[in-house]
Amino acid sequence: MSTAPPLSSTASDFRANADSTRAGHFREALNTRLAAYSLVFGVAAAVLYGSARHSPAIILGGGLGVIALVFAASWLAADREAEVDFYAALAEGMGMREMPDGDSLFPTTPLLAAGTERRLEHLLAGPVVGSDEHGRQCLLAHYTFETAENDPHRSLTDPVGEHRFTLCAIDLPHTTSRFPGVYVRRHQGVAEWANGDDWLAGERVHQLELESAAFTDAYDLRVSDDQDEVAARQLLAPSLVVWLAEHPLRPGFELRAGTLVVFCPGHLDDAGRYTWLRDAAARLAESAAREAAPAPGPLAPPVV
Amino acid sequence: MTTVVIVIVALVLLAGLWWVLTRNAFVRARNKCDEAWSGVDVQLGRRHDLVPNLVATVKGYADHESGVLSRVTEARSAAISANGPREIARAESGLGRALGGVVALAESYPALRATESFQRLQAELAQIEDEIQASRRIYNANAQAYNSRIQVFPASLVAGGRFAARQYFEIADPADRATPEVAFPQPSPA
Repeated sequence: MSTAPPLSSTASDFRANADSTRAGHFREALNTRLAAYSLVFGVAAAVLYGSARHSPAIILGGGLGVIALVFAASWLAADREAEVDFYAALAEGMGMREMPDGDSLFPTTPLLAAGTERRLEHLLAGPVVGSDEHGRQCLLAHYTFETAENDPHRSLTDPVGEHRFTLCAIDLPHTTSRFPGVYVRRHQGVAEWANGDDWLAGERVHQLELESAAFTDAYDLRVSDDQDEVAARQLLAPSLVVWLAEHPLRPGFELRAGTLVVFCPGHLDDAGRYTWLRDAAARLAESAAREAAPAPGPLAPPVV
Repeated sequence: MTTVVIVIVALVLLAGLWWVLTRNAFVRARNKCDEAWSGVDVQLGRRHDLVPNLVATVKGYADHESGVLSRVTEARSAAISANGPREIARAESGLGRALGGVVALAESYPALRATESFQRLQAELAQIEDEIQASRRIYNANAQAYNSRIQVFPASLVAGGRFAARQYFEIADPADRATPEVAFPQPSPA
Protein backbone atom coordinates (compact mmCIF):
# COMPACT_ATOMS: atom_id res chain seq x y z
CA MET A 1 0.00 0.00 0.00
CA SER A 2 1.12 3.47 -0.71
CA THR A 3 2.51 5.64 2.03
CA ALA A 4 2.63 9.41 2.27
CA PRO A 5 3.22 11.19 -1.01
CA PRO A 6 6.93 11.46 -1.77
CA LEU A 7 6.82 15.14 -2.58
CA SER A 8 10.21 16.68 -3.04
CA SER A 9 9.05 20.25 -2.49
CA THR A 10 10.03 22.00 0.66
CA ALA A 11 7.49 22.16 3.46
CA SER A 12 6.65 25.78 2.64
CA ASP A 13 5.91 24.84 -1.00
CA PHE A 14 3.71 21.89 -0.08
CA ARG A 15 0.09 22.18 -1.17
CA ALA A 16 -2.06 19.47 0.37
CA ASN A 17 -5.00 20.22 -1.89
CA ALA A 18 -6.41 22.68 -4.39
CA ASP A 19 -7.86 24.85 -1.59
CA SER A 20 -4.69 25.15 0.48
CA THR A 21 -3.73 28.67 -0.60
CA ARG A 22 -7.21 30.00 -1.33
CA ALA A 23 -7.59 31.94 1.92
CA GLY A 24 -4.25 33.69 1.36
CA HIS A 25 -5.15 34.61 -2.22
CA PHE A 26 -8.54 35.83 -1.03
CA ARG A 27 -6.93 38.20 1.45
CA GLU A 28 -4.52 39.38 -1.27
CA ALA A 29 -7.38 39.97 -3.69
CA LEU A 30 -9.27 42.05 -1.14
CA ASN A 31 -6.13 44.11 -0.50
CA THR A 32 -5.77 45.14 -4.14
CA ARG A 33 -6.57 48.63 -5.39
CA LEU A 34 -9.15 47.22 -7.77
CA ALA A 35 -11.11 45.70 -4.89
CA ALA A 36 -10.77 48.84 -2.76
CA TYR A 37 -11.85 51.18 -5.59
CA SER A 38 -14.71 48.87 -6.53
CA LEU A 39 -15.95 48.83 -2.95
CA VAL A 40 -15.62 52.59 -2.42
CA PHE A 41 -17.06 53.68 -5.75
CA GLY A 42 -19.70 50.96 -5.78
CA VAL A 43 -20.97 51.79 -2.29
CA ALA A 44 -20.75 55.54 -3.04
CA ALA A 45 -22.75 55.05 -6.22
CA ALA A 46 -25.39 53.06 -4.34
CA VAL A 47 -25.61 55.77 -1.65
CA LEU A 48 -25.85 58.58 -4.21
CA TYR A 49 -28.42 56.79 -6.33
CA GLY A 50 -30.44 55.81 -3.27
CA SER A 51 -30.33 59.38 -1.96
CA ALA A 52 -31.45 60.75 -5.30
CA ARG A 53 -34.37 58.33 -5.27
CA HIS A 54 -35.02 58.96 -1.53
CA SER A 55 -34.81 55.21 -0.98
CA PRO A 56 -33.05 53.83 2.11
CA ALA A 57 -33.62 50.34 0.68
CA ILE A 58 -31.49 51.15 -2.39
CA ILE A 59 -28.79 52.67 -0.20
CA LEU A 60 -28.65 49.64 2.10
CA GLY A 61 -29.35 46.92 -0.50
CA GLY A 62 -27.10 48.45 -3.15
CA GLY A 63 -24.24 48.91 -0.70
CA LEU A 64 -24.52 45.34 0.56
CA GLY A 65 -24.88 44.06 -3.02
CA VAL A 66 -21.67 45.79 -4.10
CA ILE A 67 -19.80 44.37 -1.09
CA ALA A 68 -21.13 40.86 -1.81
CA LEU A 69 -20.19 41.16 -5.48
CA VAL A 70 -16.61 42.25 -4.73
CA PHE A 71 -16.21 39.45 -2.17
CA ALA A 72 -17.58 36.86 -4.56
CA ALA A 73 -15.34 38.00 -7.42
CA SER A 74 -12.30 37.96 -5.11
CA TRP A 75 -13.23 34.49 -3.86
CA LEU A 76 -13.51 33.10 -7.38
CA ALA A 77 -10.21 34.65 -8.42
CA ALA A 78 -8.54 33.27 -5.27
CA ASP A 79 -9.99 29.83 -5.96
CA ARG A 80 -8.53 29.81 -9.49
CA GLU A 81 -5.12 30.96 -8.27
CA ALA A 82 -5.06 28.37 -5.48
CA GLU A 83 -5.79 25.71 -8.10
CA VAL A 84 -2.92 26.96 -10.27
CA ASP A 85 -0.59 26.92 -7.23
CA PHE A 86 -1.65 23.41 -6.29
CA TYR A 87 -1.12 21.84 -9.70
CA ALA A 88 2.24 23.60 -10.18
CA ALA A 89 3.44 22.31 -6.80
CA LEU A 90 1.96 18.86 -7.43
CA ALA A 91 3.70 18.58 -10.82
CA GLU A 92 7.01 19.60 -9.28
CA GLY A 93 6.59 17.30 -6.30
CA MET A 94 5.72 14.29 -8.46
CA GLY A 95 8.50 14.98 -10.95
CA MET A 96 5.98 15.70 -13.71
CA ARG A 97 5.23 18.60 -15.99
CA GLU A 98 2.01 20.48 -16.63
CA MET A 99 0.44 20.22 -20.05
CA PRO A 100 -2.21 22.40 -21.71
CA ASP A 101 -5.81 21.25 -21.28
CA GLY A 102 -7.03 19.13 -24.15
CA ASP A 103 -10.08 17.65 -25.78
CA SER A 104 -9.30 14.07 -24.90
CA LEU A 105 -6.92 11.17 -25.35
CA PHE A 106 -7.10 8.94 -28.39
CA PRO A 107 -10.20 6.84 -27.61
CA THR A 108 -8.46 3.49 -27.25
CA THR A 109 -10.49 2.24 -24.29
CA PRO A 110 -14.28 2.37 -23.76
CA LEU A 111 -13.98 5.00 -21.02
CA LEU A 112 -11.92 7.27 -23.26
CA ALA A 113 -14.48 6.81 -26.03
CA ALA A 114 -17.55 7.29 -23.83
CA GLY A 115 -20.11 10.03 -24.42
CA THR A 116 -20.16 12.55 -27.24
CA GLU A 117 -18.15 15.34 -25.60
CA ARG A 118 -14.89 14.67 -23.79
CA ARG A 119 -12.32 16.92 -22.20
CA LEU A 120 -9.17 16.70 -20.11
CA GLU A 121 -8.09 19.28 -17.55
CA HIS A 122 -5.07 19.69 -15.29
CA LEU A 123 -2.92 17.37 -17.36
CA LEU A 124 0.34 16.23 -15.80
CA ALA A 125 2.84 14.16 -17.80
CA GLY A 126 5.89 12.39 -16.46
CA PRO A 127 7.40 9.11 -15.31
CA VAL A 128 5.13 6.46 -13.85
CA VAL A 129 7.18 6.52 -10.68
CA GLY A 130 10.26 8.56 -9.90
CA SER A 131 12.81 5.84 -10.57
CA ASP A 132 10.89 3.53 -12.91
CA GLU A 133 13.54 1.31 -14.45
CA HIS A 134 11.44 0.78 -17.59
CA GLY A 135 11.16 4.50 -18.24
CA ARG A 136 7.40 4.33 -18.67
CA GLN A 137 5.57 7.63 -18.94
CA CYS A 138 2.09 8.38 -17.72
CA LEU A 139 -0.52 11.07 -18.06
CA LEU A 140 -2.58 12.14 -15.05
CA ALA A 141 -5.66 14.23 -15.69
CA HIS A 142 -9.18 15.19 -14.75
CA TYR A 143 -11.37 13.58 -17.37
CA THR A 144 -14.98 14.47 -18.12
CA PHE A 145 -17.29 12.96 -20.66
CA GLU A 146 -20.79 14.11 -21.29
CA THR A 147 -23.72 13.41 -23.51
CA ALA A 148 -26.74 15.63 -23.94
CA GLU A 149 -30.14 13.95 -24.05
CA ASN A 150 -30.93 15.57 -27.39
CA ASP A 151 -27.47 15.13 -28.91
CA PRO A 152 -27.99 13.85 -32.49
CA HIS A 153 -24.81 11.74 -32.20
CA ARG A 154 -25.98 10.01 -29.04
CA SER A 155 -26.57 6.30 -29.40
CA LEU A 156 -29.17 4.54 -27.27
CA THR A 157 -26.51 3.13 -24.97
CA ASP A 158 -24.64 6.41 -24.39
CA PRO A 159 -24.86 7.65 -20.81
CA VAL A 160 -26.64 10.97 -20.42
CA GLY A 161 -25.19 13.81 -18.37
CA GLU A 162 -21.72 14.77 -17.20
CA HIS A 163 -19.40 12.12 -15.77
CA ARG A 164 -16.17 13.00 -14.00
CA PHE A 165 -13.09 10.89 -13.39
CA THR A 166 -9.45 11.28 -12.52
CA LEU A 167 -7.32 9.01 -14.63
CA CYS A 168 -3.77 7.89 -15.18
CA ALA A 169 -3.00 6.59 -18.68
CA ILE A 170 0.07 4.55 -19.58
CA ASP A 171 1.14 3.16 -22.94
CA LEU A 172 1.93 -0.56 -22.80
CA PRO A 173 2.21 -1.44 -26.50
CA HIS A 174 3.44 -5.03 -26.03
CA THR A 175 0.28 -5.98 -24.07
CA THR A 176 -1.95 -5.48 -27.12
CA SER A 177 -2.23 -9.09 -28.23
CA ARG A 178 -2.37 -10.68 -24.79
CA PHE A 179 -4.98 -8.27 -23.46
CA PRO A 180 -7.51 -7.28 -26.13
CA GLY A 181 -9.85 -6.01 -23.42
CA VAL A 182 -9.91 -6.23 -19.63
CA TYR A 183 -12.22 -3.83 -17.78
CA VAL A 184 -12.40 -3.51 -14.02
CA ARG A 185 -14.54 -0.86 -12.36
CA ARG A 186 -16.42 -0.33 -9.16
CA HIS A 187 -19.88 -1.82 -9.09
CA GLN A 188 -22.40 0.58 -10.51
CA GLY A 189 -24.82 1.84 -7.89
CA VAL A 190 -28.57 2.08 -8.37
CA ALA A 191 -28.26 5.79 -9.27
CA GLU A 192 -25.74 5.10 -12.04
CA TRP A 193 -27.82 2.24 -13.33
CA ALA A 194 -30.91 4.47 -13.43
CA ASN A 195 -28.93 7.19 -15.26
CA GLY A 196 -27.76 4.68 -17.82
CA ASP A 197 -24.18 5.47 -16.72
CA ASP A 198 -22.66 2.38 -18.29
CA TRP A 199 -20.04 3.14 -20.87
CA LEU A 200 -19.48 -0.58 -21.48
CA ALA A 201 -23.10 -1.16 -22.47
CA GLY A 202 -22.43 -1.05 -26.20
CA GLU A 203 -19.23 -3.14 -26.07
CA ARG A 204 -18.83 -6.81 -26.93
CA VAL A 205 -17.92 -7.86 -23.41
CA HIS A 206 -18.93 -10.47 -20.89
CA GLN A 207 -18.62 -10.76 -17.17
CA LEU A 208 -15.90 -12.74 -15.47
CA GLU A 209 -16.00 -13.73 -11.83
CA LEU A 210 -12.96 -14.25 -9.64
CA GLU A 211 -12.69 -16.40 -6.54
CA SER A 212 -12.52 -13.49 -4.09
CA ALA A 213 -15.93 -12.61 -2.62
CA ALA A 214 -14.57 -9.24 -1.43
CA PHE A 215 -13.40 -8.37 -4.95
CA THR A 216 -16.67 -9.54 -6.49
CA ASP A 217 -18.63 -7.39 -4.02
CA ALA A 218 -16.54 -4.31 -4.80
CA TYR A 219 -15.80 -4.64 -8.50
CA ASP A 220 -17.40 -5.45 -11.79
CA LEU A 221 -14.95 -7.36 -14.01
CA ARG A 222 -15.64 -7.67 -17.71
CA VAL A 223 -13.50 -8.89 -20.56
CA SER A 224 -13.97 -8.49 -24.28
CA ASP A 225 -15.29 -11.53 -26.11
CA ASP A 226 -11.92 -12.10 -27.81
CA GLN A 227 -9.99 -11.91 -24.52
CA ASP A 228 -8.32 -15.12 -23.37
CA GLU A 229 -9.88 -15.66 -19.95
CA VAL A 230 -6.85 -17.53 -18.65
CA ALA A 231 -4.65 -14.53 -19.46
CA ALA A 232 -7.12 -12.23 -17.68
CA ARG A 233 -7.09 -14.49 -14.62
CA GLN A 234 -3.29 -14.58 -14.67
CA LEU A 235 -3.23 -10.78 -14.76
CA LEU A 236 -5.63 -10.67 -11.83
CA ALA A 237 -3.45 -12.90 -9.66
CA PRO A 238 -4.50 -13.34 -6.00
CA SER A 239 -2.03 -10.73 -4.73
CA LEU A 240 -3.38 -8.11 -7.17
CA VAL A 241 -6.98 -9.01 -6.34
CA VAL A 242 -6.38 -8.62 -2.59
CA TRP A 243 -4.54 -5.35 -3.20
CA LEU A 244 -7.32 -3.95 -5.39
CA ALA A 245 -10.08 -4.98 -2.96
CA GLU A 246 -8.27 -3.27 -0.08
CA HIS A 247 -7.06 -0.17 -1.94
CA PRO A 248 -8.45 3.01 -0.33
CA LEU A 249 -9.22 4.59 -3.73
CA ARG A 250 -10.84 1.45 -5.16
CA PRO A 251 -9.37 2.30 -8.56
CA GLY A 252 -10.80 0.77 -11.71
CA PHE A 253 -8.81 0.10 -14.83
CA GLU A 254 -9.19 -0.61 -18.52
CA LEU A 255 -6.53 -2.37 -20.54
CA ARG A 256 -7.04 -2.40 -24.27
CA ALA A 257 -5.09 -1.74 -27.45
CA GLY A 258 -1.87 -1.30 -25.50
CA THR A 259 -3.28 1.43 -23.28
CA LEU A 260 -3.77 1.09 -19.56
CA VAL A 261 -6.18 3.60 -18.05
CA VAL A 262 -6.45 3.55 -14.27
CA PHE A 263 -9.26 5.71 -12.93
CA CYS A 264 -11.41 6.64 -9.99
CA PRO A 265 -14.68 8.54 -10.04
CA GLY A 266 -14.65 12.29 -9.37
CA HIS A 267 -12.01 14.95 -9.88
CA LEU A 268 -9.33 14.40 -7.24
CA ASP A 269 -7.87 17.56 -5.78
CA ASP A 270 -5.42 16.49 -3.12
CA ALA A 271 -1.82 15.38 -3.38
CA GLY A 272 -2.19 12.18 -1.38
CA ARG A 273 -4.92 10.72 -3.58
CA TYR A 274 -3.08 11.75 -6.75
CA THR A 275 -0.02 9.87 -5.55
CA TRP A 276 -2.12 6.85 -4.67
CA LEU A 277 -3.62 6.85 -8.13
CA ARG A 278 -0.23 7.04 -9.83
CA ASP A 279 1.15 4.29 -7.56
CA ALA A 280 -1.85 2.13 -8.39
CA ALA A 281 -1.24 2.73 -12.12
CA ALA A 282 2.43 1.81 -11.65
CA ARG A 283 1.54 -1.44 -9.92
CA LEU A 284 -1.05 -2.38 -12.55
CA ALA A 285 1.31 -1.48 -15.39
CA GLU A 286 4.00 -3.66 -13.85
CA SER A 287 1.62 -6.61 -13.53
CA ALA A 288 0.29 -6.21 -17.08
CA ALA A 289 3.79 -5.87 -18.54
CA ARG A 290 5.01 -8.92 -16.62
CA GLU A 291 2.09 -11.06 -17.76
CA ALA A 292 2.49 -9.94 -21.36
CA ALA A 293 6.23 -10.53 -21.44
CA PRO A 294 7.38 -13.71 -23.18
CA ALA A 295 8.04 -16.57 -20.77
CA PRO A 296 11.72 -17.01 -19.88
CA GLY A 297 13.49 -19.90 -21.57
CA PRO A 298 14.08 -23.21 -19.83
CA LEU A 299 16.55 -23.16 -16.99
CA ALA A 300 20.06 -24.13 -17.94
CA PRO A 301 21.36 -27.24 -16.17
CA PRO A 302 23.69 -26.37 -13.31
CA VAL A 303 27.33 -26.21 -14.37
CA VAL A 304 29.90 -26.92 -11.71
CA MET B 1 -62.13 -14.92 6.79
CA THR B 2 -60.90 -14.39 3.20
CA THR B 3 -58.50 -11.70 4.39
CA VAL B 4 -57.03 -14.03 6.97
CA VAL B 5 -56.48 -16.72 4.33
CA ILE B 6 -54.84 -14.20 1.98
CA VAL B 7 -52.55 -12.97 4.75
CA ILE B 8 -51.57 -16.55 5.68
CA VAL B 9 -50.91 -17.49 2.04
CA ALA B 10 -48.85 -14.30 1.54
CA LEU B 11 -46.81 -15.04 4.66
CA VAL B 12 -46.19 -18.62 3.54
CA LEU B 13 -45.14 -17.41 0.09
CA LEU B 14 -42.80 -14.81 1.62
CA ALA B 15 -41.27 -17.41 3.93
CA GLY B 16 -40.79 -19.75 0.96
CA LEU B 17 -39.15 -17.02 -1.07
CA TRP B 18 -36.86 -16.16 1.84
CA TRP B 19 -35.95 -19.83 2.24
CA VAL B 20 -35.07 -20.19 -1.46
CA LEU B 21 -33.05 -16.95 -1.56
CA THR B 22 -31.17 -17.81 1.63
CA ARG B 23 -30.35 -21.30 0.42
CA ASN B 24 -29.12 -19.95 -2.92
CA ALA B 25 -26.92 -17.46 -1.08
CA PHE B 26 -25.42 -20.35 0.91
CA VAL B 27 -24.72 -22.30 -2.26
CA ARG B 28 -23.06 -19.27 -3.88
CA ALA B 29 -20.93 -18.64 -0.78
CA ARG B 30 -19.95 -22.31 -0.62
CA ASN B 31 -18.97 -22.29 -4.30
CA LYS B 32 -16.85 -19.21 -3.66
CA CYS B 33 -15.06 -21.12 -0.89
CA ASP B 34 -14.43 -24.06 -3.23
CA GLU B 35 -13.19 -21.73 -5.93
CA ALA B 36 -10.87 -19.94 -3.51
CA TRP B 37 -9.58 -23.27 -2.23
CA SER B 38 -8.73 -24.39 -5.76
CA GLY B 39 -6.88 -21.06 -6.12
CA VAL B 40 -4.82 -21.95 -3.04
CA ASP B 41 -4.24 -25.39 -4.50
CA VAL B 42 -2.94 -23.93 -7.77
CA GLN B 43 -0.43 -21.73 -5.95
CA LEU B 44 0.72 -24.58 -3.71
CA GLY B 45 1.11 -26.75 -6.81
CA ARG B 46 3.33 -24.09 -8.36
CA ARG B 47 5.56 -24.25 -5.29
CA HIS B 48 5.67 -28.05 -5.39
CA ASP B 49 6.68 -27.91 -9.06
CA LEU B 50 9.52 -25.57 -8.24
CA VAL B 51 11.13 -27.85 -5.65
CA PRO B 52 12.76 -30.43 -8.02
CA ASN B 53 14.40 -27.61 -10.02
CA LEU B 54 15.62 -25.92 -6.88
CA VAL B 55 17.02 -29.16 -5.46
CA ALA B 56 18.73 -29.98 -8.77
CA THR B 57 20.30 -26.54 -8.97
CA VAL B 58 21.55 -26.56 -5.38
CA LYS B 59 22.76 -30.16 -5.65
CA GLY B 60 25.12 -29.17 -8.44
CA TYR B 61 26.98 -26.88 -6.05
CA ALA B 62 26.39 -28.40 -2.64
CA ASP B 63 26.05 -32.13 -3.21
CA HIS B 64 27.36 -32.95 0.25
CA GLU B 65 24.50 -31.02 1.89
CA SER B 66 22.26 -34.01 1.24
CA GLY B 67 20.52 -33.68 4.64
CA VAL B 68 19.01 -30.30 3.80
CA LEU B 69 18.06 -31.38 0.29
CA SER B 70 16.45 -34.63 1.36
CA ARG B 71 14.43 -32.73 3.99
CA VAL B 72 13.02 -30.55 1.19
CA THR B 73 12.14 -33.58 -0.92
CA GLU B 74 10.47 -35.30 2.02
CA ALA B 75 8.57 -32.14 2.95
CA ARG B 76 7.38 -31.82 -0.64
CA SER B 77 6.11 -35.40 -0.66
CA ALA B 78 4.31 -34.80 2.63
CA ALA B 79 2.75 -31.59 1.28
CA ILE B 80 1.54 -33.29 -1.89
CA SER B 81 -0.08 -36.17 -0.01
CA ALA B 82 -1.70 -33.98 2.68
CA ASN B 83 -5.50 -33.60 2.78
CA GLY B 84 -7.75 -30.91 4.24
CA PRO B 85 -6.85 -27.35 5.18
CA ARG B 86 -5.34 -28.17 8.60
CA GLU B 87 -3.15 -31.03 7.41
CA ILE B 88 -2.11 -29.15 4.28
CA ALA B 89 -1.28 -26.05 6.34
CA ARG B 90 0.94 -28.14 8.62
CA ALA B 91 2.69 -29.88 5.71
CA GLU B 92 3.12 -26.61 3.78
CA SER B 93 4.64 -24.95 6.85
CA GLY B 94 7.18 -27.79 6.93
CA LEU B 95 7.92 -27.33 3.24
CA GLY B 96 8.30 -23.57 3.74
CA ARG B 97 10.82 -24.13 6.54
CA ALA B 98 12.74 -26.69 4.45
CA LEU B 99 12.87 -24.29 1.50
CA GLY B 100 14.04 -21.53 3.83
CA GLY B 101 16.86 -23.89 4.85
CA VAL B 102 17.90 -24.31 1.21
CA VAL B 103 17.92 -20.56 0.61
CA ALA B 104 19.93 -20.08 3.80
CA LEU B 105 22.31 -22.79 2.63
CA ALA B 106 22.97 -20.85 -0.55
CA GLU B 107 24.43 -18.04 1.55
CA SER B 108 27.49 -20.25 2.07
CA TYR B 109 27.93 -20.85 -1.67
CA PRO B 110 28.57 -17.56 -3.51
CA ALA B 111 28.98 -19.39 -6.84
CA LEU B 112 25.50 -20.88 -6.46
CA ARG B 113 23.98 -17.55 -5.51
CA ALA B 114 25.52 -15.96 -8.58
CA THR B 115 23.96 -18.42 -11.05
CA GLU B 116 21.12 -17.10 -13.15
CA SER B 117 19.02 -20.21 -12.61
CA PHE B 118 19.23 -19.96 -8.82
CA GLN B 119 18.42 -16.26 -8.85
CA ARG B 120 15.44 -16.89 -11.09
CA LEU B 121 14.21 -19.73 -8.91
CA GLN B 122 14.63 -17.61 -5.81
CA ALA B 123 12.66 -14.73 -7.36
CA GLU B 124 9.97 -17.13 -8.54
CA LEU B 125 9.78 -18.70 -5.08
CA ALA B 126 9.35 -15.28 -3.48
CA GLN B 127 6.59 -14.43 -5.95
CA ILE B 128 4.83 -17.75 -5.34
CA GLU B 129 5.03 -17.20 -1.57
CA ASP B 130 3.27 -13.83 -2.06
CA GLU B 131 0.57 -15.46 -4.16
CA ILE B 132 0.11 -18.24 -1.59
CA GLN B 133 -0.38 -15.65 1.14
CA ALA B 134 -2.88 -13.74 -1.00
CA SER B 135 -4.78 -16.92 -1.93
CA ARG B 136 -4.87 -17.89 1.73
CA ARG B 137 -6.36 -14.52 2.63
CA ILE B 138 -8.97 -14.82 -0.11
CA TYR B 139 -9.92 -18.33 0.99
CA ASN B 140 -10.10 -17.39 4.67
CA ALA B 141 -12.20 -14.29 3.89
CA ASN B 142 -14.60 -16.38 1.81
CA ALA B 143 -14.73 -19.10 4.47
CA GLN B 144 -15.40 -16.52 7.18
CA ALA B 145 -18.24 -14.96 5.15
CA TYR B 146 -19.71 -18.40 4.43
CA ASN B 147 -19.43 -19.60 8.05
CA SER B 148 -21.07 -16.42 9.32
CA ARG B 149 -23.93 -16.82 6.88
CA ILE B 150 -24.75 -20.38 7.82
CA GLN B 151 -24.37 -19.82 11.55
CA VAL B 152 -26.35 -16.62 12.03
CA PHE B 153 -29.96 -17.04 13.19
CA PRO B 154 -32.51 -17.35 11.54
CA ALA B 155 -30.55 -18.28 8.39
CA SER B 156 -29.01 -21.16 10.36
CA LEU B 157 -32.48 -22.81 10.22
CA VAL B 158 -32.12 -23.09 6.44
CA ALA B 159 -28.53 -24.32 6.70
CA GLY B 160 -29.47 -27.21 8.98
CA GLY B 161 -26.88 -29.97 8.61
CA ARG B 162 -26.55 -29.62 4.85
CA PHE B 163 -24.03 -26.77 4.93
CA ALA B 164 -20.99 -27.60 7.00
CA ALA B 165 -18.67 -24.85 8.27
CA ARG B 166 -15.35 -24.54 6.48
CA GLN B 167 -11.99 -24.83 8.20
CA TYR B 168 -9.64 -21.89 7.89
CA PHE B 169 -6.29 -22.30 6.19
CA GLU B 170 -4.08 -21.07 9.00
CA ILE B 171 -0.42 -21.14 9.79
CA ALA B 172 -0.11 -24.47 11.54
CA ASP B 173 3.19 -24.11 13.33
CA PRO B 174 3.28 -21.58 16.18
CA ALA B 175 6.98 -21.11 15.41
CA ASP B 176 6.05 -19.57 12.03
CA ARG B 177 3.69 -17.13 13.73
CA ALA B 178 6.12 -15.99 16.41
CA THR B 179 7.50 -12.49 16.06
CA PRO B 180 11.25 -12.60 15.74
CA GLU B 181 12.95 -11.20 18.78
CA VAL B 182 15.36 -8.38 18.13
CA ALA B 183 18.01 -7.85 20.75
CA PHE B 184 20.03 -4.67 20.75
CA PRO B 185 23.51 -4.85 22.18
CA GLN B 186 23.73 -3.23 25.58
CA PRO B 187 26.06 -0.24 25.63
CA SER B 188 29.16 -1.11 27.54
CA PRO B 189 29.82 1.06 30.57
CA ALA B 190 32.41 3.70 29.84
